[in-house]
Amino acid sequence: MPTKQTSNVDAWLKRETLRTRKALESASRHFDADDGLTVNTLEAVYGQESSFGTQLGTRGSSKPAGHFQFEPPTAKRYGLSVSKENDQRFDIYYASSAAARYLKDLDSMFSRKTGLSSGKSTIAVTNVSERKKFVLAAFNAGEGRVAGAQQLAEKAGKNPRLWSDVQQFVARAGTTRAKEQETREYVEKVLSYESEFAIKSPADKRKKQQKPGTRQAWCTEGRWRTIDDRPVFICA
Amino acid sequence: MGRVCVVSCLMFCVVLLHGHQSRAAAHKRFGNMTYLTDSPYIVERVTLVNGQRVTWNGRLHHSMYYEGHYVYGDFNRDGRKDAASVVAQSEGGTGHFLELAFLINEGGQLVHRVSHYLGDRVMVNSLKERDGKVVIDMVVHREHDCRAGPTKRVKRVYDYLNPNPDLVLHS
Repeated sequence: MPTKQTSNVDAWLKRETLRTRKALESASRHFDADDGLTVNTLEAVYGQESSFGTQLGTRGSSKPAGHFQFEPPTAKRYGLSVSKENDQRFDIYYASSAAARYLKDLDSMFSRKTGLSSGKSTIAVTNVSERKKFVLAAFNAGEGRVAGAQQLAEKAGKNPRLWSDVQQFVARAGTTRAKEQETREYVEKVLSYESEFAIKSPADKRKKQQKPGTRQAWCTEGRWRTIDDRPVFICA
Repeated sequence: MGRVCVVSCLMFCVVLLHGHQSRAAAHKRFGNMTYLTDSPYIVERVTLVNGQRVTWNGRLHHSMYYEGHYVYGDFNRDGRKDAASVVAQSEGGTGHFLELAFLINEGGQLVHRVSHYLGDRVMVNSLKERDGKVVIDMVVHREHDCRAGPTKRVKRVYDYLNPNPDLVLHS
């Protein structure tokens, strides 16, 4: 008799503890009404990254590790401590909060023109569901790569606000077709998991409305200064 | 009989120690080498320090890591000993993109000329040289594997002179 194959999402939901769900719901408060991000987006990314915490890696590692697979520079950017003794990438509350803030920051970057480095800036994507694709691609490949692909798409006469037009330029933004393919698949998989979580997950989607995250005002005019060995963008 | 055993053990230890020392020297060499990046808008090439380097440019950063695997061989078939090592690059996202860096012998200096892409968070077990090509034993992702947990073990061959166009820098 053929057995019904359970999807990844079913397996992850079986594994989800109350603590995990509360952490993800709490982290989703960093999202707000004008983004397309929900607790289900976080669940989908969590599943795609570490299979709901079953593949965490090594504490204090300089490689991606923990629940959301942050590498140390990104983890530190979001205030997590990374050491062998205390690696907050392995604490679901800290890790999911950092992941939510990173997703929200990426959403802000792609919601308006944002300077990233000299000569590199994002192109605003106003459509919320379209923007989510850019956000997820950047969550995996980095915002610089995706912004570069947008600029190349625009130069080629394509629509830099449509992921289907931009994705083919990820490789031309200085990388390989195989890497471009992985980034496309990452976006497709997370979106498909997210829709499944939206139907099956008991997580409370209204949490994000309870306490809207504080919006960081990105500016496009200004200059870079180095303060305490860290780059800081001073708005004009 | 006893003396033969002692001498054999001593010789075995010397060989083991020599192998360990040469591996340590190679790791030091490849972990402090200059590599090309695929993020020229952040930094074009980086010299690793103790196996890693993080470079900031504005709001963007680029990280590169030596992954601890290397192999020697004549990869461009010019009769001189080249090398290949595995490095990973990241741009802040969760992707940790591994590649095989071919380091070509140019007047006695190993120079990074090209990389062949291996994958996001694949796990490399070993590198071997065969007929001027690199054979990598590694674990890659099945369709439903999470990024942190690839499960499909494969052996793949990478040829410096005949690269798969999908795996080298798009031009």
